Amino acid sequence: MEMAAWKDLVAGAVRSAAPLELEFFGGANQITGYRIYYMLQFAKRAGVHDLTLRSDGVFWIDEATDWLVESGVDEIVLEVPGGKLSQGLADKVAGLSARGVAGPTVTVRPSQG
Amino acid sequence: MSPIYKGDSSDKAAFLRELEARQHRHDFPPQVIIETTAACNLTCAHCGHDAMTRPVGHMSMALYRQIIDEIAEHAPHAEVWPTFYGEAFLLGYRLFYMLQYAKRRGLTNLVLNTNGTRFTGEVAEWVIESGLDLVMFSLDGFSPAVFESIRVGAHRDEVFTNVERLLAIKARRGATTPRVEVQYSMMDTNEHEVDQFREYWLARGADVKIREKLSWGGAVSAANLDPRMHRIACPWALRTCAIHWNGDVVACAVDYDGRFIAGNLGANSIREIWNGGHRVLQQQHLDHDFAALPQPCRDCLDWQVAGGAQHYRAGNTGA
Repeated sequence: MEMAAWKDLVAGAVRSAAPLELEFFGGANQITGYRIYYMLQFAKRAGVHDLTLRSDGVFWIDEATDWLVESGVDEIVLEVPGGKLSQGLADKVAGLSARGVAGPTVTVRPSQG
Repeated sequence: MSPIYKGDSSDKAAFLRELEARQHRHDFPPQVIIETTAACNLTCAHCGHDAMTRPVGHMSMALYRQIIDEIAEHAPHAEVWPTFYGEAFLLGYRLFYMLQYAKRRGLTNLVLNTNGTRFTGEVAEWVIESGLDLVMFSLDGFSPAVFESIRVGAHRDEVFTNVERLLAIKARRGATTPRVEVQYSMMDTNEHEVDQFREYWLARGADVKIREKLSWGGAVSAANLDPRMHRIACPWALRTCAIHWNGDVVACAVDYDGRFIAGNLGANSIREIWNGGHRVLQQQHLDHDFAALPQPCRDCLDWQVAGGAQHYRAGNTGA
């Protein structure tokens, strides 16, 4: 998605006080993950009150835990086969909770198809 | 102001003596250069990047945070460059995060230089939002022919447009930062265009920096550097802590290959290395014990350039 298009969506969500969901499915490396961070943070700073990141969690490398918290995203929805997290992803979620700071809630759902 | 390039050698010697009189040791480096990436997308004629033998990599975020946290604790007003021997904007939004992190930790003098090739309008927006204090575009030419013969792989009109777009976006947003500076490294092939370059950019609201060509510790030819010049303690050796992407603290800002490694930040702090392994080098400079210096310092002539450049501020009539 073009960043300009995302910013337009954010502006619309702020005007209508609607929740906003960013979908990211697929892997991310050290570089592209920070683009998600920017998008989430931009939306929160613009005034989106209910922001969700929906993903299969493949993007979640170790350092992503920091920027997920810092982005201000409200909820992370992880859609995984059978609704069961891999051990690696379960560890990441546990690590997020163990920080003891206000961060996003994490919801796990079975993936479609 | 320093005399530059083919100026009178006695003027330059006097300038260097005066510069040296102001040098002293620092308990914490007043300038820190952090190699967030060693990758570059150009092969500039006056750069020794293609002579680099160490691996090309990106700095881990954990190491970057460690460095910024230590600077924030001891010297938040230090001049910090999150770039060294690569093009930091290849990192995209990862660089945004790094800049924002440094500003969030309270650093007040965050500076980046760039070749400008990746500076799209989207990048200009997030650079302004990051809080970066100064962005310096290395341009080195005015006409397309000269620019593109030096900045090999870049297109003059595209890069100039990128800089002008940043200035326009900054004005539209009413942003006071980053200050925008364009840098001109003087050499035989471009000195005839320097006046045009300076006037062009000052008229558009960019500050201008003109400096002599570097040899990068001897990696590239620099006839402007005079081996007979009376040697002084190098300002870079005394002021600059240069850190490679793998955490090695090296001699200075031109030690692109890590020929002198004072320590590694995986084992020690900046402060420990600066006052430990690196201090030996600093003391040799201060004592003028140049024969005892390790390479790359021993045969380096870049100390003639390290302390001086001419700066012109947009809106000012003088330098």
